[in-house]
Amino acid sequence: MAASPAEGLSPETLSKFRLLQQRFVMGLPARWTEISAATHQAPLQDALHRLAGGAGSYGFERLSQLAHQAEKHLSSGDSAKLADTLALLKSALDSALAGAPPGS
Amino acid sequence: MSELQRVMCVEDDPDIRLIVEFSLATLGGFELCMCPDGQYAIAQAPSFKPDLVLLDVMMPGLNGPETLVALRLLPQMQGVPVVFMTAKAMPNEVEALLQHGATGVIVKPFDPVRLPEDIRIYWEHGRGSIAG
Repeated sequence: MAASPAEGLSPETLSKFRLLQQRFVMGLPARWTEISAATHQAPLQDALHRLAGGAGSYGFERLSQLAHQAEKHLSSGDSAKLADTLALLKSALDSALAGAPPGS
Repeated sequence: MSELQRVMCVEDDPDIRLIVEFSLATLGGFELCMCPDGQYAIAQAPSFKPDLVLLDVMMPGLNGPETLVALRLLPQMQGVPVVFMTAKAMPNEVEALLQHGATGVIVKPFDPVRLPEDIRIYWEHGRGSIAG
């Protein structure tokens, strides 16, 4: 996405969008638990795929990109790159939880 | 000339359903029927009578293409444009989805501000182009 979803919204709709963002962030620990606890490829692929598809619409483009990269490394069987990308994903997720601006 | 008013969205992820609802109802002003799976969509379609269906590809139970096949068996749904939503956007994957009879493909993550206009464009493009 080229622009933040928040751009151009009225104050009322922006406030509603911020609430949805907060709700999404509150759900990130559960998503990470799904990712980190997955012992088979299919549930890990599914959890990464859903995060990749959803995070960017809430303004968290980096989370989407990292989840998408991890999904690709998982598919190609590159476990070293997968581990590196998951570490970056965890860090981005922690930043989102700590209240860093989306996209940072 | 009629307008796009009633949109059915079939999506298993609750977070994506919420942002679609924000996008299409709050921003776009459409009347929505939100469906968590394909079976629910098939049950609701005859009474809701959507103008357009936004359909996730990867879902537990019936996936998107399977749901599309089942929806097309309903007399009310044979000419209704269906737009897939997918995070898999390789050209061959998009082409395969269009071969299933979809009007278009929205790539996830989508921009919720742009989504209403994007589906309006697909609706204009798809209306009447699918044999009913």
